[in-house]
Amino acid sequence: MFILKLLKELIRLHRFLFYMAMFLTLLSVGFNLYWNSFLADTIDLLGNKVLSGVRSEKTLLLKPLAMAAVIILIHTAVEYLSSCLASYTCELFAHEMRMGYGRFYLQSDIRILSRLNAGEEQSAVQNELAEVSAYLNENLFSFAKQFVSFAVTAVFLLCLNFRLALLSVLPAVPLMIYCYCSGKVIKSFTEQCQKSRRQINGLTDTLLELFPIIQVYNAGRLMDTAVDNRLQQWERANVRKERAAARLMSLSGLLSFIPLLMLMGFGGAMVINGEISIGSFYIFINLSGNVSGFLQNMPGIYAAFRRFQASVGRIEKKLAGNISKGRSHVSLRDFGG
Amino acid sequence: MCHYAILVDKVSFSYGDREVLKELSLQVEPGGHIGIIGHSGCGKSTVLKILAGLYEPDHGRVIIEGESLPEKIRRQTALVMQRNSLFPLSIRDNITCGHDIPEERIWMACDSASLSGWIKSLPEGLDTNVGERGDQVSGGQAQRIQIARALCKEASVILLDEPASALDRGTGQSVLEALGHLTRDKTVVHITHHPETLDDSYVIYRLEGGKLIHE
Amino acid sequence: MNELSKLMKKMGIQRKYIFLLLLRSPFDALRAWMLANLMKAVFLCLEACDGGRLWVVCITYGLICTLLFFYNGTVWSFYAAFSAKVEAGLQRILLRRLMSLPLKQVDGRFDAEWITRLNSDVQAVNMMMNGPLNLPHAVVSVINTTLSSFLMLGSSRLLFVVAWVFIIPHLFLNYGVVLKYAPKWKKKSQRAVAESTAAIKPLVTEAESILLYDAGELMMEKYQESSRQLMKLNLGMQMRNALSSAVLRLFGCGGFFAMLAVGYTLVLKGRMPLAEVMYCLQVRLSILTGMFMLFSSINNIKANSVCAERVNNALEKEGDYEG
Repeated sequence: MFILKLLKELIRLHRFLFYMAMFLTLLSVGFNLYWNSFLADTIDLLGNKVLSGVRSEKTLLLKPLAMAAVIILIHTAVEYLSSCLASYTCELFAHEMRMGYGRFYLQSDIRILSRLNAGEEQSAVQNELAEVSAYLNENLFSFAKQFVSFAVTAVFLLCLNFRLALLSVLPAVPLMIYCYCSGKVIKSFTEQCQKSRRQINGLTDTLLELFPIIQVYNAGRLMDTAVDNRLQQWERANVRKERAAARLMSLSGLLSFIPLLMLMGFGGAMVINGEISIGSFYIFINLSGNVSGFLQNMPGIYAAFRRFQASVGRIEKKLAGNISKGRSHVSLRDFGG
Repeated sequence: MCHYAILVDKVSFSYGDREVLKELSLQVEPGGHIGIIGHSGCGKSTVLKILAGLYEPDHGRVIIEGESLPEKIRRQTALVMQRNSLFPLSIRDNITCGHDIPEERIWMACDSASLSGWIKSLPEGLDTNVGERGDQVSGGQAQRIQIARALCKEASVILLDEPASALDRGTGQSVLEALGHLTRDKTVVHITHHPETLDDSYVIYRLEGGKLIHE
Repeated sequence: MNELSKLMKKMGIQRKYIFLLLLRSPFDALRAWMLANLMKAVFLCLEACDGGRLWVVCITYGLICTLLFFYNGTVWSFYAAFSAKVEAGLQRILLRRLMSLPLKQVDGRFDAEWITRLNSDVQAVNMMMNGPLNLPHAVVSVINTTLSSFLMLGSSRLLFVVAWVFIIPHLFLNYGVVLKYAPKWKKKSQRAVAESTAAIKPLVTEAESILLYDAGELMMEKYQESSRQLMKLNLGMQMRNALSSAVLRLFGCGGFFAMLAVGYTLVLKGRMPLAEVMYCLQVRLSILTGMFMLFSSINNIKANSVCAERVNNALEKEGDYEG
């Protein structure tokens, strides 16, 4: 799979930076969980006082308040560092990819290059390469964070109460299957759309190149018709894609509500039966978002991934092997960091 | 009433701060042929674009066939360029540029541009798509299509921007022959790096320092 | 906003757009209201140890949720189709405008720059009108935040004050660090994208000369320089975003804990049931979500309005499409 190869290449070039950013991202997830576990304990502590009828205890909140302040401050610092490092790594990856793209042209056969349309190539740099870079920037570490949050939270909840965790996570399985199928549908629509988009860019480049000819031969009307035809094709493809995405994603939103309702019903019943504490129940509700939220975003994550895959597929030939051929010498000093 | 086909009077033109043409003047009688030579970047193509009504001069005036408004000037001129300048449409669209031109006139233009035989051999004839950037046709055919386009316009002033320079010698020669049909009885301005390709009917000027100097 | 309004008027889509926007806007507020009430109802059942009622509550809210998502899916589908049509319409208008420009103006820029401008302007205006965290979400979030604020005010004035004490400094910090600078950074970044795209063109079109004169290294250096400039600009903005997300932790977690503490004090004093505290925490979440959505939307609208202004200029002044 080329995406994995591409990532491996990029990581190999900036190994330390990548692992450091990943470590901090995971540390941030850890702090988030620790914060939630601390909240559960605090709610239980206060809840027990309420249930036992204690009506005033001034020192009750002092210790949790101090603890909360320390956790929040450390969590804030870790979050800042991990975001900075993740952004820097992703921007560096994007730069390496752009350079790999450049190297491809430089090393290509002139006969191949002469057949290329410069406008379409530039459009590819602008659209596909930019899309790949943007995806990495927005998703590489963020996805890792979401995924690890999802996995660790699921384990944490399973340890807290196995039965309730299963009840809140199991309804998500059909949702995942649904996500897979809807992602496939969205991908095919997206590909059609991107194909039309590239044709429009090619035509725009032709318009610019032939501008003098269009004016001297008064060919504006002819080009107008050509532009209209291609725009109509693109519009039709775009409408189909957007409609499908709207319907599919709306349904997934509804489906993702089911785990919360299950949790409310069964978890509430367990609290009434004294099987779990109210603090654990609240933390289940609070953290189930990490699990169901991740699943709720699945169609979006999946569609974005497929788009990314399609974009990578289109520039695969140009990037393959060209990234590893050179490492760009960029240092933090370049960015005043 | 101006009796020149082309009258350029003290025209200046600049790109931002860079002045390319300085009070350039030129007069061409109807049916006159002139060639303009000069080193790369001296402003030859700019002169052509001004003559075609594509650029408006900063100072001075340009009158082509008695017209001075850019839109009207554009009606009087036809342009054949060096590069492959085809629309990604059919051969017919490339020749007619979307105008209503009778079929006989299109074929006459194709005959003069030595295109008819090749077009007839194509399964879709005139409706064959030339592809993106004309990549479905050869360089020589692309230039001939440009010539047929200019012939169909029936303009009185023909502007040529190195129409055969990107072709090999054999193809270039045959394209120059086709150009002979286009330029017959017309006023012609031909920009070239190879003045030896121009026949005796041409008066050669060199563009230097933003002015035209008679060779 | 002004620019977008002008643009929509020119395209003749203002009424339809507002109508669709209004249809779409109540969804988030209704969802937030539903979730807060679900939470309250569930905790009331827990306090009353009423297992039977708990299930009735869950099923009732499940049905309401189905209706809500059905409504949203239907409206969104119309909205998405409208948005796709607007995008194509904008592209058509700008291409026509480009074709009507004088050649000197067209020659004044690289082809790549024109393509970038066309693509980015169309996409930016479309994003502003229809994209996530732009105008639609700004409207949705205003409605959501207003409704949620009223709900919390109705429940407890003290908790309402505590919630806003943490939200307001957060918003100001966010504005000072990110929002204020977003349009400037976006403009710079766009220019860098165009320069980087233009720098790659000679590698394709001048391949013969590059090979002949062994100018590969020189061209790559030039391209690398443009790519590094782009990276530098993007990173500048990312660092500010990182600061913004750190501030979110500080005030987000801090605000939650403060409300929890104050809420429990009220419960201990017998001035409020536990269910009401949970309800307020849930409402606070929707205020926060709404406010962040609003600020992110304003941020994006500001950044995209640069493009909307340029598109408007192109449509207003005959023959002008300069930025």
